[in-house]
Amino acid sequence: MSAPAPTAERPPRLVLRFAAYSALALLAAGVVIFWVVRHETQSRAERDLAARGERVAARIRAELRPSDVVRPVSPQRARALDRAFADEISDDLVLVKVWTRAGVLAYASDHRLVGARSQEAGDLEAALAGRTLREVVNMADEGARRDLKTIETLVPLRQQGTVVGALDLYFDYASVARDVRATMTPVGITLGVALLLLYATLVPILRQVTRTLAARNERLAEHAGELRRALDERERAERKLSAAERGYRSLIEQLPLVTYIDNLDETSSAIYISPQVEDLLGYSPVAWLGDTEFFPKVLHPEDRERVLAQHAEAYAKAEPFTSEYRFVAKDGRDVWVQDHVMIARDDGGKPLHAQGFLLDVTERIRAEAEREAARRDLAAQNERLRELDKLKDEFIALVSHELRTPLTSIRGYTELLLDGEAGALTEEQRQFLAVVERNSHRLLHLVGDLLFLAQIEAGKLVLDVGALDLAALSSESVEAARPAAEEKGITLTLATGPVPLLAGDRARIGQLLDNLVSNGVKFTPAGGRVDVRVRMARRRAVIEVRDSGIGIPAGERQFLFQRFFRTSTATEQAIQGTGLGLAISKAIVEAHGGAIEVESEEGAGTTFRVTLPVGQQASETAPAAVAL
Amino acid sequence: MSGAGRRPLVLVADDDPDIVTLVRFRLERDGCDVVAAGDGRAALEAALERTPDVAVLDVTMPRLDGYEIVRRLREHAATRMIPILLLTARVQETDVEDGIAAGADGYLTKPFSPQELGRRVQAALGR
Repeated sequence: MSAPAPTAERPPRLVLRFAAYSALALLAAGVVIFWVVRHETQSRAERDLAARGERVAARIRAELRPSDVVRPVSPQRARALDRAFADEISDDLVLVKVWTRAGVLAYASDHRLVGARSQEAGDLEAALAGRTLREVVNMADEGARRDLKTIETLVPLRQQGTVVGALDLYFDYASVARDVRATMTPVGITLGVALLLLYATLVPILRQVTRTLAARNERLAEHAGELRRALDERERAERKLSAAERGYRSLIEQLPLVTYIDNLDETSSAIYISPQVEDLLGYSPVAWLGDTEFFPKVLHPEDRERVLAQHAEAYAKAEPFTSEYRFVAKDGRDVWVQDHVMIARDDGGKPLHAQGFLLDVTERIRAEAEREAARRDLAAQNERLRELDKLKDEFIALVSHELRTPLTSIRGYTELLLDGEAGALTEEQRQFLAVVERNSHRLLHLVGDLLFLAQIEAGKLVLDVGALDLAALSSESVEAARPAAEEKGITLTLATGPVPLLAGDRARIGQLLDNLVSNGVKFTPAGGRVDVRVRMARRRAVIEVRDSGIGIPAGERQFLFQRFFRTSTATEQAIQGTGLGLAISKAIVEAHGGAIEVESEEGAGTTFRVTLPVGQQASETAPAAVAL
Repeated sequence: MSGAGRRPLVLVADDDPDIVTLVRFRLERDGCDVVAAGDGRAALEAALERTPDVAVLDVTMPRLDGYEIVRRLREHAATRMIPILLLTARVQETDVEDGIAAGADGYLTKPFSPQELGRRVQAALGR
């Protein structure tokens, strides 16, 4: 109720206005009715008077002689006529005139203007033409002395069918007025009363109507107020909503992805697409929305059929889905997107439209492709490596077989000859065959070393672990080297302390000892010493081989255990060797969980020290594969 | 195995004729008769035909390898009990195990000493 005061004030004013209007209307109606009735009454009275005039004229005509209408009558005749008319002349008929054909006044009951010509030639002419005229005139205008309102009746006078003059009668109008008054007084009173009654009944109705109207107005005003408030409310809400929508939209259009809304009908045309699409593909939203076939056109040809089918199915079923596919951007680039499609529904769950977003996943797909390519490369490389490894194994087996088979013949036949199976040999022949035998042995040894090294490198060194007596093995190696030492005049000694049985590969440890002792003898000049010591130290077995040889240059010691490495002094002095012995020795030691080290002084000698674990550790490390 | 006065028969199979000759020479000196074969198929046929007292077979031979010959010989009643020595140029322990698993009685690694081979054959002959 925002404006109750004006609506409350309105009814009285309205009623007054209606009362005034209706009063005026009734008054006007009364006046009109009164005027119409009066006019009718008056004209009837006038007609009655005229009719009387005609009757009077008919009687008076009978009194007239033809001469009376030829020229103004004589005064005697006039008096005679006065007498003749006297009966007729009354309160009503105030004047009688007789006109000649020539329009001259022949007689007048008041005797005035006789012989004068008519001033109203038109009227008289019409009467002389045979017509009866009636007219309200003032006597003063007719030259009378009295000022009296009359009704003039002009009647033609005929003799044998022709008009010879006109009879002019003036009746006092007062009779008409009397008649009218007599008729109009009751009519007026009745009308007045009726109108008053009508008004009296109208006013309450009016009041009622105005009150109803006022009430209705009030209600309407209230409704209008409510409507206005509702509209205001709605406007405010809409303003608020549009502000919120603008907020959301700007937020969405700031995200690093393209959002869109599609129709769910069979066209699947876009309703909205966010401006980021221009960054993604180079096409503006206007171009996109302006063409219902835009989406299929920018899809990558290889993905088009699949994506359209997916969309059609999902839209038809109104189901969400996620898909990855390519667009072709305006500049021709392939752009990978991840498309997340959802179905928007109204409160009743009825699908409204599809909405979703497109994420640019080009970088990820590219990275994946690169990773996949790298993985394939790696797999191929692995395959090649496996192939190479297999080839190497096959090569080793082949070399082993192909070298050992001819060596079998060389050594076998040499043995037969040396055994005298082909007859007795001269001393020289025996010496030569001994050289063949020794070199074939060297060759065999080299093949064995190479094969062993290959096994180590392939990680296929397998130890045949058993209990071994280090003292006994050392003794065997020293005794094996003794002939060579004696040949060079080298003193070769062995000192063994109490050493428990070790867990290890007897053949490999033997090979290790052989290598170290024969190396010592090889690199020690004539007259020198090679001393071998076997003992326990800090719960580990220690083997020391000390020589008084040429020594190893300090700068070369770090390379000493590398395969095929030969010291510069060994090369200079042309000492035979392959550079494999120490590499193999180190591998054997490490396979047993031990360590090998070297101390050397150039020109003074070299000591190799091997430490091996005693007890369980050795067996644990026994099957170890060792790489050089 | 061998009756009195009869020289024992030894099958020697190797694709290297030099080695066949070497082994034949040694074994004939030791009082054996030798039947030789240059490949696996020939060795198997000779063994089935002649039923030798001992077979000395190279492992790596064309057409049929030593292991396969051992397996086939063990399938026949007549040859099931023949002592077989394998000659192998391979050194991996698995090779040896393969040979023993196939039913060989022993093996020699190339290069071998002819004297040693002779001793092993004599031992197999029970002399």
